[in-house]
Amino acid sequence: MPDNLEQQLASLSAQVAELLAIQKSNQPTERDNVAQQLADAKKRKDFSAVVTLSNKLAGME
Amino acid sequence: MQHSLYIGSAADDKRTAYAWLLVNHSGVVASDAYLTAGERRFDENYGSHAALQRALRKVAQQEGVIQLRLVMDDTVVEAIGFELCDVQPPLYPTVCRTTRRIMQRFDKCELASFSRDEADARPQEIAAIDDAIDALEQAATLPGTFRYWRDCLLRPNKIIR
Repeated sequence: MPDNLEQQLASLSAQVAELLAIQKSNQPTERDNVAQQLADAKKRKDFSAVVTLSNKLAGME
Repeated sequence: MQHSLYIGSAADDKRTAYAWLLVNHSGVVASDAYLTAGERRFDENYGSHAALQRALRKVAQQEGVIQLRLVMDDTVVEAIGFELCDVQPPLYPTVCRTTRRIMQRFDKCELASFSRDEADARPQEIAAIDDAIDALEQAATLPGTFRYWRDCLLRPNKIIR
């Protein structure tokens, strides 16, 4: 394999790894999901859901 | 020990009544009811806080470490429940702060709610509402009226004003 092609392949691999890392960091965690659900429950004033999700969130911290 | 405090309210055209009962595995441990008077008669926020604070102080007198489940009816939830879980700002910040502080007396204090319209309501939930209605009905009778005014003068801990 020519040196040039090998360098291009290595660079491409690094870029792919970087992109995968960015994608992973942008994915919402379970905690983010619960926090979002809690915010929604607060907006619609669903007391039971607010209490349940608050407890769940507290358990995750 | 695990305890559950059920609190409910009822109102007529003259006043509001709040009733609570404390339950553990052996049954009902304590209960009481309060009537409102004066300018605060229909102030659900203030009345609910005052009734809950008194109930919580009674609960705190129980022996041992207390893990409490506080079960409020939908009227009480609407009045103070959302303040207690930071969904809406408190109407009376000092009163709300006091309620929260008393809640911290317990090893654990978990909030819950019940609806008075649910067909599958628990006996304790029905009892809390029924005791409040009973207190209102008692206050509407002639002896009850005398008792009400006597309590206003001599037993202020039975009256929320």
